[in-house]
Amino acid sequence: MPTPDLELIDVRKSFGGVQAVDNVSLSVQRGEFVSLLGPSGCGKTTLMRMVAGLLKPTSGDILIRGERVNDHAPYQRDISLMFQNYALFPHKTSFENVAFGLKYRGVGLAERQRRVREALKLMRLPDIQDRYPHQLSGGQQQRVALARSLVVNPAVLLLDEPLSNLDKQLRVGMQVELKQIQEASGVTFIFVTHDQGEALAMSDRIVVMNAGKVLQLGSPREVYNEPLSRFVADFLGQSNFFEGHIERTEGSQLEFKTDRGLSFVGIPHSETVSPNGRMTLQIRAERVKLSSSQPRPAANSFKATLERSIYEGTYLIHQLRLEDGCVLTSTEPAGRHLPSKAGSQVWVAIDPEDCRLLVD
Amino acid sequence: MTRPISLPFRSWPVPALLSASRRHPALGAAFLVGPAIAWIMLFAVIPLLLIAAYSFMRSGGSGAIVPIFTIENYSRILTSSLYRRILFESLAIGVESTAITLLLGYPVGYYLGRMKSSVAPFLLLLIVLPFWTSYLVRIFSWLLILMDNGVINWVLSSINATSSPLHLLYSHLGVVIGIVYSALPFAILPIYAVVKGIEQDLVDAAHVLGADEGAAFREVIFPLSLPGLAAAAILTFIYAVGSFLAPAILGGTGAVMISNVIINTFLVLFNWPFACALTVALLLIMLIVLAAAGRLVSLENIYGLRSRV
Ligand SMILES: Nc1ncnc2c1ncn2[C@@H]1O[C@H](COP(=O)(O)OP(=O)(O)OP(=O)(O)O)[C@@H](O)[C@H]1O
Ligand SMILES: [Mg+2]
Repeated sequence: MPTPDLELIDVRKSFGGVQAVDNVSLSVQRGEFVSLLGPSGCGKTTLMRMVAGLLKPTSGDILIRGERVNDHAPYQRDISLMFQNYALFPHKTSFENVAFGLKYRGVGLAERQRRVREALKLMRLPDIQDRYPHQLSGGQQQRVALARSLVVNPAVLLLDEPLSNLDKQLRVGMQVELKQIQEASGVTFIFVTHDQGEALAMSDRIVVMNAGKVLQLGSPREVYNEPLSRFVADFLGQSNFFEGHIERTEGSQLEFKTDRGLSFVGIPHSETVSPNGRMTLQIRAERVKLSSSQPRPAANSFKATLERSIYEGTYLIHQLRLEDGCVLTSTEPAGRHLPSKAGSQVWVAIDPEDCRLLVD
Repeated sequence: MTRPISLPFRSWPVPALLSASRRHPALGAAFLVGPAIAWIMLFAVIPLLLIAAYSFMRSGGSGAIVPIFTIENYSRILTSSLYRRILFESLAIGVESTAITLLLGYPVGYYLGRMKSSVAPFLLLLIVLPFWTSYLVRIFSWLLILMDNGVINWVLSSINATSSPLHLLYSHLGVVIGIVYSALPFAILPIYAVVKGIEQDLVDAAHVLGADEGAAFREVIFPLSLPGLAAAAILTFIYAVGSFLAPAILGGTGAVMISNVIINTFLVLFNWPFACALTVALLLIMLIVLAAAGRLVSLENIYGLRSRV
């Protein structure tokens, strides 16, 4: 296996009593696009700052292209970091901001000008090169900051929420742009985002973090479809969770009984599951099917009251109450048909293939 | 292209007060700005106007002022080589002291401002501590240091560095030393405040983009600290040019400054109109130098802070 571009070995960082980053190990291959996904305060920025050399890890090793860089200053590492708050130089124009990194990597003036212009154009910022940061909108500032970190073409590019301040249209456009740049340049991207959709759409691998720890590491499909913990399942997409236990196993199938007495049958299982331990059943909201009459076969179908439907343009979100009082969320593409009225009786059907058992 | 003189007066609290009063426009503004304006009128504008008016009157001797318009006070300043020389010497001492004070004060303000530990406020306290003792006493202690048989000459001769004492006292250099000593806190404080306010993220961004410590200082910290340096320069210059005690005690007849002459003219010669004319001349010179410096430095140009109207 080739030397990874970036390797973290048991990296920890504590601020006083707070474990901001807790024993993170991670290996990123050249040209990979890795996203750090997690709630606010889970340690994403702290991790990025350690890779950049702006923070010293409390313990653990950081390797860039096989070389241990713990003791290297930021300017001795072949990295570039886009700051979450942009950190644009207020006394320099957009052009000078973007050209800064090139200047200190010894790129000549003519080449510098060419590359800065190209980068600004790529960021859809053609006519602002002589403006100072305070003369730019938030989204423009963000794109200048992005251009500034992209243009130096480092071994590892660290982006801390680079698109958070852009409107949807521009954001999607920039996602495509960034992905293309990344594929064309072969630069390793570490990308921090709050937005799961963005992480799923862009990444080769996603690192889901919480409270300083890596909870799961895998491809977008893996972390979405095969979450290893309730946190990961809950963080990505919208799910229903039922706490309960395994009632019995029959061959490769099992029956799950919720604490309120609902029974789900025919759930496939391959992993060895402890028959009597407490478990959580996860059902994605988009997998909950609604119908007005009882579906056939009748297994895993329940009577429910539609409490309300929320129209979101692309999706309809239904809030349902099962007969046992449980609340269930279901989403479906918003078609032309009118949604059922609030208060009406519906049937909920769940395919056992869509049930996932989680240990916690 | 002409630009307004851009001295850091904008950082005075008046704009903040104005914006706070925006919620209750008329009443609020009058209430907030009123006392300040009254204060300035009473203690700055009116005395100045009086001084300006007296400077165009004739002296009746023994402090009397004859209310007859004349420009002879000014023509005397312009034609007398003595007064021209003293004004020039004051200006020279002002510029030299300001330059030396900034050179010495910048590193101190810089290091205190960049210090992460909580020692910085304590060190700042040490810097302003001498203010708690009498200025007169402090200048007199410099007399003991600079004298022919004072501390400096004693050290120099005991290490055989000099055969005869250096005449530091009653010289231009002695006055500059005294002014620099007492002006340093005025320079250190604004530089400290501005350097401290520079976001660490900006310095970090420079490092991440490949700039080492020196380059980050040149490209980021120094340019961003210029408003503090400008404030320090203005405060120090005004303080230095108007110095009275330092030249009186350390300068003697070797280095006379304009303030000494003004006081002498008021209190010994009792020629109030001429003293007033000298005061106005000093004020004009200061304003001209500050305006020239403001145009030279043009902070707005450095920063691109021209407002987006
Ligand atoms: N300099 C510091 N001193 C003390 N605690 C800190 C410091 N920097 C970060 N922390 C703490 O470390 C934890 C992780 O912070 P970090 O900024 O890495 O979160 P984040 O995942 O980037 O959050 P966000 O998504 O809001 O940007 C937080 O609890 C934060 O309060
Ligand atoms: Mg962050």
